[in-house]
Amino acid sequence: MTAAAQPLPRIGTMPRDAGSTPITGDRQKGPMPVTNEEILRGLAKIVHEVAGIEENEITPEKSFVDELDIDSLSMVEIAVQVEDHFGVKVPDDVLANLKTVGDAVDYVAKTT
Amino acid sequence: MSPRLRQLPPIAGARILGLGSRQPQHIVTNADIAARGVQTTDEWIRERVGIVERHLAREDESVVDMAVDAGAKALADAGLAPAEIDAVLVATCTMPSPIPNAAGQTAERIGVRGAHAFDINAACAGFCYGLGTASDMIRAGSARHVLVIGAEKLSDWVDPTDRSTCIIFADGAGAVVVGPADPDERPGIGPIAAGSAGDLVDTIVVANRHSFIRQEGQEVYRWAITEIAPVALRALALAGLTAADVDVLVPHQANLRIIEAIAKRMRAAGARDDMVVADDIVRSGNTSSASIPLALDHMRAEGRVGSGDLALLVGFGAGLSYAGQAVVLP
Repeated sequence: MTAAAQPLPRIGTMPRDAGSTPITGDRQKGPMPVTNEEILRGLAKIVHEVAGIEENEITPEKSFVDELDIDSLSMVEIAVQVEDHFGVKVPDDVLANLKTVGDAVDYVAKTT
Repeated sequence: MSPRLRQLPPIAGARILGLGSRQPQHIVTNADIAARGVQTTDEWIRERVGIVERHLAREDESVVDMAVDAGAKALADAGLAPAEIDAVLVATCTMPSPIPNAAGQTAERIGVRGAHAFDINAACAGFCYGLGTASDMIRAGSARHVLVIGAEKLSDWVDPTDRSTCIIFADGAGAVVVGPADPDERPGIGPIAAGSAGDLVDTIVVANRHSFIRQEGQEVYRWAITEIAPVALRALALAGLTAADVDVLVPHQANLRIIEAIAKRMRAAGARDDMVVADDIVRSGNTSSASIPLALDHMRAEGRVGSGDLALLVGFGAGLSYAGQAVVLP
């Protein structure tokens, strides 16, 4: 949009010792899940949001790549959201071994 | 007692005065790459990186050739003569040799004589570093008008048979002229939010002068979708703005999915639904330090952005390095 008629936004200049405190993004930690069922529900919600797959399609025996047709970049996005939501670390080498939805649920269960 | 050194009187703020770009004429489509024998498809490339076509320079078209053209257009757009420019900064990481630098040759060919002239290598973050340096130079009184150019010939450093890189990288140049804001006018370039992640240095590399670019795509992707939106938000906070103030978001055009992930996080932080998000990568590919000014110039030509719009720029790439700032468009 153009803003010719509006006043220009005010851009401040940096105070001399402003430092560089990082701003927290939009990450939200969910409540700590207790059961595998709750983990599955949380995971299904994330997979739905990232890949658009219906939540009821996301069942433990399904493989992410072959059956749910999720590509490697979407898997990274899912890993990042799982980290935020469940408060676990999902490094790339672990991610590569999470073949099925059940693998991911088990990993979160044993890591939380 | 040590002598008292005089400082030049500081200037309150700088702003962008003009914009220009140069793209090589030769267009390479996804089908062209597949037809060359690279194991890929149009659908795969569109899904993974969002690129439909890219522009590649001819053998005899150099980084400096593109920089000169983009720089001259930005000067004309700003309505300034070459003699009024006293610093030329070229952000580039794809010169064919380390010396001479691009900036000196570019200045000479544009007709800018005796100016500061140096290159900045912060890879895909280079343009934002250059813009921040220009703003600081003007504010400190070391230059009045600075020409900042991002120019790259990535095709020189890409293995045309490597399907993980040859589909992404492309050539081009974009430039801005930066000058002092009028004394009664608000600054048009906010403070820079920048930094580096040296622990990930090995993820984007040209190993030596006989090598091509090699990239750990998945690792870089994860870094970009998690770490860059906070940099953009920090740039806004430093400028005293919030996400809702942003008219146009211009992330480095690395990968459409990274751009969308950053935009999504900006919206979660309060950005407006009508915030324009640069998607120049679709037609231009990833041109490293040239991508942000190229996108700005193309969006202006398409009427998607206008004078006075608040743009949030954020570059990120090899180093790994990152930098961003809020700017008011000329």
